[in-house]
Amino acid sequence: MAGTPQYVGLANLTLGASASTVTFSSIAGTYRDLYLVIAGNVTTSAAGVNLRLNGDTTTTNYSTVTAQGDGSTATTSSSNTFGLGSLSTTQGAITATFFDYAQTNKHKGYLVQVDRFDSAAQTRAGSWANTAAVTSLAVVAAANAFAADTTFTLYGVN
Amino acid sequence: MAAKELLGTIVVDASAPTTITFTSFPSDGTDLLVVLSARDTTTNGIVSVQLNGDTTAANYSRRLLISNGVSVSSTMASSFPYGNIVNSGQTANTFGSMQVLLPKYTGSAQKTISIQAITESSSTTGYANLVSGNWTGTAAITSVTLTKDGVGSFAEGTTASLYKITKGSGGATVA
Repeated sequence: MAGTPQYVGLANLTLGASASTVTFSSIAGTYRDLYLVIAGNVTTSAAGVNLRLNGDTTTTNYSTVTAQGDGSTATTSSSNTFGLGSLSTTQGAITATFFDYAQTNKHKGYLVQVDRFDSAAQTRAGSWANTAAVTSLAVVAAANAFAADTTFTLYGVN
Repeated sequence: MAAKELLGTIVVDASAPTTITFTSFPSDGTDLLVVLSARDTTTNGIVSVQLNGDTTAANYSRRLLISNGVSVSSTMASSFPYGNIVNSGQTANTFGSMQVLLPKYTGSAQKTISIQAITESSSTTGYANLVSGNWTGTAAITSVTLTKDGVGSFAEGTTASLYKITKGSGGATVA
């Protein structure tokens, strides 16, 4: 019996110049989950990275619970935010899994790990209150820009 | 195209090694993922990560979120990123699980070391770690070493697998 590939590379981008928004569109509904890896930094000072699913810019449609350790203090918080995490001017990474993204009978849950060795180790559990299948995914450097050479990679997960 | 490819698995025998090293792997991937199932022969229970044979602690940094079922805490240091594994004082025949993601491993910037580790073993003490780490080296990663930090060694039955994750060819729009 032939196995099914667990990860399938869908799209990738390495910035040749700084940019504030990167969008993956026309995402096929063929897989079970989506897995996103952002590796790099922003251009000027630490900045939040925001999520847009299907172009939805309404903050209250997103909710997150966050736990983080900054090296001395562990904290937790919850809010209605489309924040995915943050990056700084030093190398870091954000990885996020979007579960059952193509299903049309449920809100979309996602799990995020933010790696900023300069600031905090952070994990977020999020939910997008929409039953539509996710067909586009955008990340936005809030009031900042992703630096050149930052990479964005999207995988379909079976 | 399958994007997650198993490069190799090391199964520890009774020789009680203190390190597990992956070398000679392809440089045509995007990210590396190490998956470890491990037990310590002593009560130490710590596994650290080194890249390209660099054993100079000052070339690394780490920031941890640690929970043990009773409290949650955070620490930081200019030293090897690490995760907790099950130790010899915990329930017999249980092993901790640890994942190490090394994104953009062939890039020319400093390297992020992203660790998740758990040691749930049905005993009174277990750990869940989240670790953000960094290596200041800018060379492509050509070796990954998991080291039993301080004392102890990897117990028989410990397994470590290295995966290569490769990006697809589709694109994204930029604004």
